[in-house]
Amino acid sequence: MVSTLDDSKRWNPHPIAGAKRKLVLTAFSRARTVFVPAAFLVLLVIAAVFPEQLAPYNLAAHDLANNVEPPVFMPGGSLDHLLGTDQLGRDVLTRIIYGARISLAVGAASVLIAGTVGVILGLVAGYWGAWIDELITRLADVQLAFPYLLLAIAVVAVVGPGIVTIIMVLGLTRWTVYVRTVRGDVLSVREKEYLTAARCVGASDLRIVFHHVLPNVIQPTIVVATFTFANNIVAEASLSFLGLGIPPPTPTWGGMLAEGRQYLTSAWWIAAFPGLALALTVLSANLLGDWLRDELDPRVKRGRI
Amino acid sequence: MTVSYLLRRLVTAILVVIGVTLAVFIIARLTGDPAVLLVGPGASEEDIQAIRQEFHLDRPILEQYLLFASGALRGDFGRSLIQGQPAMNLVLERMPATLELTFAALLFSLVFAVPAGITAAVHRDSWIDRAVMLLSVIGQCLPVFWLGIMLILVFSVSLHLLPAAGADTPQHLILPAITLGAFNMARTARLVRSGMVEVLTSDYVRTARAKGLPELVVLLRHALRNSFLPILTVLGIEIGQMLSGTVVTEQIFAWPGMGNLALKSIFARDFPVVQAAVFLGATIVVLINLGVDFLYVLIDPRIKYR
Repeated sequence: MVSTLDDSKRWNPHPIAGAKRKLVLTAFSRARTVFVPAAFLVLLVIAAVFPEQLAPYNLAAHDLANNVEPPVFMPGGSLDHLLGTDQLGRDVLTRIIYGARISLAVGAASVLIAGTVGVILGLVAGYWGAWIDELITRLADVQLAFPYLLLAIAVVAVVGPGIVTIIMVLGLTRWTVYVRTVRGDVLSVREKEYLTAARCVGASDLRIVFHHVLPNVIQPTIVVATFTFANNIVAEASLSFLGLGIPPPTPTWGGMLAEGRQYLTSAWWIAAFPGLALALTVLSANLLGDWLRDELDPRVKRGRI
Repeated sequence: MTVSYLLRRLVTAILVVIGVTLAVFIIARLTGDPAVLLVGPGASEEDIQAIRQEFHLDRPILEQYLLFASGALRGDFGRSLIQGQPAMNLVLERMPATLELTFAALLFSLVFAVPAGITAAVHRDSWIDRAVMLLSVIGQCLPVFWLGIMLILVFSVSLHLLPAAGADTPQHLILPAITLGAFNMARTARLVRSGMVEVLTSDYVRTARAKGLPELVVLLRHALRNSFLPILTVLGIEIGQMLSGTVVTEQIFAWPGMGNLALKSIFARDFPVVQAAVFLGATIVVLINLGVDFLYVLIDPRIKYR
């Protein structure tokens, strides 16, 4: 790496080619910073899809004789349980791997719902404008001002906790940010010449919206989706931690934390490792989102902001 | 125009409060026949009928909602099914603790975030800048409840420095305030930095320096003041989020606030108290956001809204 960086500083007889090369190089070094978080997320997805193959133990396995065994790097730890065992003798690593499945599923499903609702409303508001724009914007304002955790509490109080409840609550409360981004972008695209051209050849409104407007406003949405994905994973974990999310014995990171909390004085690893997995996931998704935003935003690409 | 903007915000705030009463009303209806809940188990059919008439539960649903909403606006949510006292009184008793925690967290986050953000902006691209930014990214990614538990692990379980639960002494406030304020601290530091970076390259800062003003005066009176507006908007939203975030923090540290009460009431199926807590919490958040909108216009007279 060091030699390539020095290369770019050397005098170059072909300045334009050099500038191009420098651009490629900086893009590459930026890509390097995103490699670790991206690799972590890929690993997590693999763990979530194939937990049976990857987890060292069966999910149901518990071994009371070996309960609260410390992780491998502590005195008394063994290679049998890399991250130790919990109060019932269940392998912490196994439960974290199975927990990834819940976290990612809730994150992905809720982002999909919120994104679909938000993008459609944003397109409608931005493209058709007038009273429907006013209505949707106002609705988004109202939704945004309503604290989601209180709403979640209210809904869970009635419907009862469960994975579908959580996905619906998160999916139907987090659409506002998509509306804002998409609507703003549609407004700037709406007056472009290619839309006038499409209209002149007789394209219908629906065709224009989905074929000409949507592809031009979807990029920022992907960035927003990365961030809401991270937020929703934390939200699910918080709700599960409070006992309002997915009830035990299903392993969720938030639920594991809540259980491990009672054994903090004797066995800190039961609570610490699921939380660490959660923190790393959120950090990775956020770094990925930052990187995507920088890559997709031409202003950042040319200069530095 | 400023006036129409503020009017619009006011209308939105009212709509939110109406939305909240509607949500709370629907909860009340979905949890089963309110009359049965009110009389409790073992009541006769006549008792239930009497209650139904007394509480207007035999009226059309729209009329019921209007009655409920007018009660809600007067703070009347009925009595706690468990303690028998008016639900709103129980919630109001817990409100000072929640506000205390929220403002302690806010204070904590600003005390660290503003100097850190300014320092990072002044020494842009230095190692200080990078360290502040790195901490800010990490701080925004730490799940609140995990941070709280780790703080307990380090400062209470291992070092025996601070109490882990309760609200008896000022020391009890430290860990919950850090837990609740960490996210806001990280975000505000980042915002202060980017705001200051932008303002520090502006002409009037150069003029101020050229006049020979001390650097501290330039930074605080000229630069910070002008970079504070975006921060203020975010702060309004943040306070709202913190208020609902206290539910988690209060639960971790056994802090006797509204969130703690709301959660207990859910598990005890004490719906009047849940309704009162949700209503009051949401209303406070709406009022704070509205207050920030008004403040925003007051602070920067240049702003003209469409």
